[in-house]
Amino acid sequence: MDLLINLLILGNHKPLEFYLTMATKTIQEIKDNYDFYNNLLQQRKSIFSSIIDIKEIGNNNNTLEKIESIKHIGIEDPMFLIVDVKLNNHNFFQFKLRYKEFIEQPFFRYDSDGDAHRNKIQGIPLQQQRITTPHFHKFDKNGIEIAYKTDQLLDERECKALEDINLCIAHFCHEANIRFEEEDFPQVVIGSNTLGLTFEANDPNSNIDFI
Amino acid sequence: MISVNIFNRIKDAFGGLWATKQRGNTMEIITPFATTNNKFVSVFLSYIAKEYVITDGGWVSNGLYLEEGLPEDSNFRKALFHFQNSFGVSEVTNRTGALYYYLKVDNEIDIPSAVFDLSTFIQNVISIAEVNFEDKKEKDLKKRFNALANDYIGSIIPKGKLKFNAYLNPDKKDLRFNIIYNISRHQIYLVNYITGSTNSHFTSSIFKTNTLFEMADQSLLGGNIGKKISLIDNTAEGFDQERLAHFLLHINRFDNSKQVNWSSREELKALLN
Repeated sequence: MDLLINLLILGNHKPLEFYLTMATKTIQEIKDNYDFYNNLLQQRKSIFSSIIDIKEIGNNNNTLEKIESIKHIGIEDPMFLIVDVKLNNHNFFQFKLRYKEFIEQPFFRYDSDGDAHRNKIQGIPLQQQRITTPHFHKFDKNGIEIAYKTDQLLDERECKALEDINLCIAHFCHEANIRFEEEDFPQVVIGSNTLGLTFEANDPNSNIDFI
Repeated sequence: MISVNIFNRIKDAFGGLWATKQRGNTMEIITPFATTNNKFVSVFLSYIAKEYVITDGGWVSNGLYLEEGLPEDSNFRKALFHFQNSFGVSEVTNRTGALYYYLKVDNEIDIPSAVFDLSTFIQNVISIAEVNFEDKKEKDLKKRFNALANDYIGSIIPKGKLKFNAYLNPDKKDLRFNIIYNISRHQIYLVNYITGSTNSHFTSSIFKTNTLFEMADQSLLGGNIGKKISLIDNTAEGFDQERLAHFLLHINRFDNSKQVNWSSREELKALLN
């Protein structure tokens, strides 16, 4: 109730757009520094491990996680590539780039599986607003998170091939301009004691007693 | 007059949002329902033991729709229970501890209705989890203090013996502590953090720790609990020694209750040994 009253009173002084922008979760740092954000994405970043060895359980109990340092050509602050793999389904993974001094959440991301994202943009037909996985995530010039598919992801055969985490990390590094040494891509190794039972685990309703 | 063609295009656009993915014996159904964080709701349909089961695939609680998982906040919990009761949604935990929300129907004719209900349930729960019930300053303070305290305690205790933000009884999932320290096979120490950006938030934080310690003592594991340590953020804005003294004294009435101020955190080294 208090909030409503505040909105009504403040509404006399501020345009409605002020409240609407707040509601759509704009990342203000990106909106205000969009050129910087673009440079962050486009310029070369280096990774210092040729092998990303994933074996530690992450924050979430059902996920294996590995955090690797990366270095942007013009930025001294710490920056990280995070690789998450579902413990029981190695085809279900995420790559995230994080730069906490700039924004709290990852500034670039790849999801191999999971929920479809809605790009709520005027002028785009509703059906095309839905971007199923696999997809990339970045922010637009208004600081709003959007999902997109590369040409490779749109091609059915190439998309199928990118279910392989090692082909996919190369695609991700290409898209995010990350290299090991001059022109190489890192490789991913998933701890041998964590063998993913891919087929069975791909079915989320298997092995549960729905009483 | 608005032409009926426009209506037909709306219907087609909505209808065109449905999609499926086959996952083993289960069909993922991507629905036209989207949350306020712009995620389309998926439900998972299987035929198990002569019944149709429609689930969330574990996605509501496993961090897929919400990076930080479901909030602990009591306002959010009330909303969650409301939607769960309204739509008659059941829950079950699988062997790895993942929580599933689901509906079951016997007849094929009831599937659309169950898909409709479970999707609406998921859409509402995820959207409401986005509401900031707690004020931002308080939330940030708690997050900051938790991180500092976790780092500090993590640096003085060997890894593997500590559980952060964990349930005393993982099967029951009711009493959660900032730190559960398995000092030996038969003894555990509990550590809870007390902080707050205002006097009233600070007092609530004391009450919460007090209740948690009391309930832990009375639980089945009560006999295994050694020290109960309150780590008090005496650097927080809401900390006022004089006004809080008698509340803090109240926690001291428990056997083995210890209090440590953040400014003298070195005392933890002796207490946790």
